[in-house]
Amino acid sequence: MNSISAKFVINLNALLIISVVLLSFKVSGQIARGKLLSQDIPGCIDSFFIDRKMDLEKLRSTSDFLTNRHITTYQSQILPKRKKAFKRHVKHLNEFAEQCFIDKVSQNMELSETIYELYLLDQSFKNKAISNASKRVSIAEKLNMLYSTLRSRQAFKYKIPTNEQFDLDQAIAEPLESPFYHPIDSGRPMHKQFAYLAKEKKVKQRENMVLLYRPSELDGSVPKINALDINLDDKWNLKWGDEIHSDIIGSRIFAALGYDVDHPYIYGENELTLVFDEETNVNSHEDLKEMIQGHYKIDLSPFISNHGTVSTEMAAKNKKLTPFVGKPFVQFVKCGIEARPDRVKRLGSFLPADSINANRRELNGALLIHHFIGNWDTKEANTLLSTVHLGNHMYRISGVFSDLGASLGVSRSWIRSDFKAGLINELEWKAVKKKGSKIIFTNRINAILPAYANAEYEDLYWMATKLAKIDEYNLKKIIRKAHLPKPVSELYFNKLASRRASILEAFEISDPNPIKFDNKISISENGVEVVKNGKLICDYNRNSNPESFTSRKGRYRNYGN
Amino acid sequence: MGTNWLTFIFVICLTSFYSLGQIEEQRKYKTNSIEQLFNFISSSQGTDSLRFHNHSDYNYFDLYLESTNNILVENGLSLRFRKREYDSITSPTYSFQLKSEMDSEHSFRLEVEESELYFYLLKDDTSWVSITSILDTIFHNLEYNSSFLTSNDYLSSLSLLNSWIKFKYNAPVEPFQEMRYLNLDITDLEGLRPILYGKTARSRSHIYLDNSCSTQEEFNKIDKGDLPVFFQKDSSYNWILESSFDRSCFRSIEEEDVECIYLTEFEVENKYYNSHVGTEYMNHLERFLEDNFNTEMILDSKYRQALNKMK
Repeated sequence: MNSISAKFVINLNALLIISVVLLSFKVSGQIARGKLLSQDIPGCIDSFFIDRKMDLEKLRSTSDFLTNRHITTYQSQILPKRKKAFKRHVKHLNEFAEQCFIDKVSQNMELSETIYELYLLDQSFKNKAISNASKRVSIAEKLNMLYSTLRSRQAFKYKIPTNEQFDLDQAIAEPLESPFYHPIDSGRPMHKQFAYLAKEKKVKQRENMVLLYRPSELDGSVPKINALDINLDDKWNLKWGDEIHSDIIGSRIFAALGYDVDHPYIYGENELTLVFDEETNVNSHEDLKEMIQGHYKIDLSPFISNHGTVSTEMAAKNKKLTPFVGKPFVQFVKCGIEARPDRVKRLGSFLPADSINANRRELNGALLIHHFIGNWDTKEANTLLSTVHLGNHMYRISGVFSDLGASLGVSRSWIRSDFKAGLINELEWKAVKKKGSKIIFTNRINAILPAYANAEYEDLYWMATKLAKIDEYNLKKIIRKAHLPKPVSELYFNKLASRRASILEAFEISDPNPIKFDNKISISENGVEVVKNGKLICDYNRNSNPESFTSRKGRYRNYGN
Repeated sequence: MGTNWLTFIFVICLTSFYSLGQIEEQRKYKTNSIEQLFNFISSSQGTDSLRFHNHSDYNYFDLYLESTNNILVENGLSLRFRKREYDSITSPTYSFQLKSEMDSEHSFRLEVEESELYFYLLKDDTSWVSITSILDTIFHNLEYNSSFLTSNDYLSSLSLLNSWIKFKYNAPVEPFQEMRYLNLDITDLEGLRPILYGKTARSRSHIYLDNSCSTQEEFNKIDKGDLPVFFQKDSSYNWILESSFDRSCFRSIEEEDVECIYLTEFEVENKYYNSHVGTEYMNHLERFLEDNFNTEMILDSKYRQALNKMK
C-alpha cells in the first residue's frame, strides 16, 4: 500500500478491543459497562458456536433480526421501532464477533461476553414486542399478582445461619461491576448518585419547566402523558397521582445503592407549565381532562391549579414561555415528570428469569431494597434493559429498575380492583422481624421473579451492609427531593430510619451510622396535631394533595375525588 | 432470477408500509441554461412564492458496483460506495447505498443506506484495516493516478473490497438486507465489482415558504429538533422542498484513459409532511423552471445516463 493508505492503516480491531476493555473499567466521567459474565459461560449462547468457533449463520440471523426493517413481527406481534442508535450498537457487536470468526478465535470470555450481550438484546427486544401487545392487565395476571402477594408472607422467611454455617467473607463478597450494578464511588455522597446517572444520560431537568403536550400512549394505570421539552430534543412523561412522591424516594435509594433507575422529578404548584400547540389534537386543558377521564377514568380537575392562554406577563416572569405567548396552557397543583432522554434507548425487561440473571447477587440483593422501601409492584415489566449512548458512538447496556412508585405504604383492594401507593400509615415501622431462628420481611410484592426467589440470606446480608452506609444526612437529602409536606416528610424519615434499623438488627450488622428515629412521633402544625404517635391523623391539606396521603381510594376510584 | 419477477417484487416492496420510510419523491431536470439556473438558485431569488437558501456545497465521490450479468442496472437498481468531503476541517463521511431508478414521471425512488462505515474492517494478509481507508486508496488512485489499473495498492484494495462484499452479503448491512429482501441471491450477483467512478460537486439548497410575507401554508409537521438549523432559527420559514445542483464527471474504471462523461442535473425532493401538498409545490416549481430555464424532466439517474453514454 502506498504512503497515503499506509497512514490510514490502523489496527482498529485492537482499538475496538481496547474500547470494550476500557468500558469494563471506569473511564473518567462515565459509568463503566462492567462485565456480564464472571466465570461461567451460559448455555443460552451455546447455539452461537460450533466446536467452540463462531457460528456465522446464527450470529447474523440474530443481528439481522435486530436490525432489518423488513422483519416486522415476532410471534405475530408487531416489533418495536428499531432506533438508529440501537441498530448501530448491534452492528458494533456483530462486527466484533465476525472478526473473531475470520480470525478463527475459539470461544473465550471476551467473545462470550459480546455474544451474551447480543443475546440479551435479542431476548429483551422480543420481550418488548410481547409486552407491547398486552397493555391491559389480564385476569390471569391479576390472579398471579394476588397469588404472589399472598405468597410473599411465606416466601420471604430466611433461616438465620449459625456461626458455623455463616461465611462472612462470602456474605460480604462484592459482585463484579456489571450492567446491573455499579459500586458507588466512595468520593461521591450517596444521595448524589442519582444526579450523576442523570448527568451521564444528559437528563436536563430545570426549574420552572415548560413542556409541550405530545400524542400519548396512555398506558399503565397512573394517569400520564407524553411531553416534549421546549429544547425540542428531550422527551418526558408527565404524571399525576399517588406515585409521584414515592417514585422520587424509591429511585434515589436504588441509585444510592448502585442500581440504574429511571429519573423522576416532582413539581409543585404552578412550577411546571404544559403548553398546547398546533402539532396535536389536544389543544386545551379541557381536552386533556377529557382524554385522561376517557382512558384512566380519573378526573384531573383536582390536580389543575391554573389554565388559560400564555400572556406576555407570564412570559416576562418565565422567559421560556416567550415563544408560546397566545397559546393555551395548564399548570398543576403538583405533578411528576420522568425523563426519556435521547441518549437512552429502552428495550424490554432486563430478563430476571435468565439463568445468569436469576442468580446474580446484585439482582438477588435488590430484593432487600424493594422490601426496605415497601415496593409492591415488582413485576418484570418494571425492569428494563436499555442501551446508553456514551458519546462518539460508544454504547453500554444497562439494567434499570423502573417504576418504583408503588411503594412507601401500599394498600390493595382486590374486590374493588384498586390499589394505592404513598400511604404513609400503611408503611410499617419495621421492614423485617425476627421470629425464633428466622427473619421475616413484612413487605409483600406482586411478582416473585426468579432473581428474587433465588435470593439467599447471604445476598440479603450483602445488600444490608450497603444499606448501612446510608446515613441520616443522605437519607434526609433523598427524602427532601420528594417535596413532601413537612409533617409527612418527617414521618417518612422516621419510618425509613426505623425500617433501616430493623434490617440491620435482624442481620446483626453493627450500624456504622445510627439514625435516631421516634416511632411515637407527634407533630403539630399551627397548633393542630397532624401526626400523633407515629400516625398521620388527618387527610393532610387535601386541596394541595389531591391524591391524599391517607385515603385508600386509589387510581381506580379517582383517588376518592 | 428473471427480470419480471424482480420488478414485480420490487413494486410490491415499494407499496408496502415499511418501504415507505425509505422512499422519497424526487424529480430531476436538465437544461441548456445551466449557468443561469445555477445563478438563480445561488442568488436565493425564488419564484413568486418559493424561496431558495443555499446551505452547503460539498464534493462527493462514488464507486458504483455491478455484476457480470448487469442484474442491478437491468432491474433499475444502483449500488455504490460514497465518500462526501465537506471542507478542510470536517472529516469526510462514507456510506454504502442502494438506490432505484424512477420508472415513471413523478414516481418515488428507493434509497437504502448504510450510513456509517467506520467500524467495518477488512483483513489483509496480516492485519485489519478499515473499509474507509480502502475506499480512500481506491478513490485516491482513481482521482490522481492515471495508471491506476497497474497500481498494486489500487488492485489490492479493490480485491479486498470485492472479498468484503462477497463475505458481507448475508450480514446485517442495510443495502444487502434490502437486496436479500428483493430475493437477490449472492449467486445472482456473480462477479459483483466496481465498474464506474463518479465525482460530483453538489450545491444543496432548502426551498421554503416565508409565511410572514407569502400565502400561508400549514407548517411542515416535522419535530423542530429534526428540522435543519435554518428553519429552527426562523420560525416563519416553512420547509417544503430540498434541491441539489450537481455537476458530475463519470468514468469507467475498467479501462484507463477514458473520457469523462460530464453531467449536470438539478434535483428536487419533496420534504413536506403532506406529500400531496408537497407535490403541488413541485409542480409549481417545475412550471417555473420550464418557463424560465427551459428545463426538461429526466428519469434516468446520473449513473444510468453515464452508462448509456458509455455504450
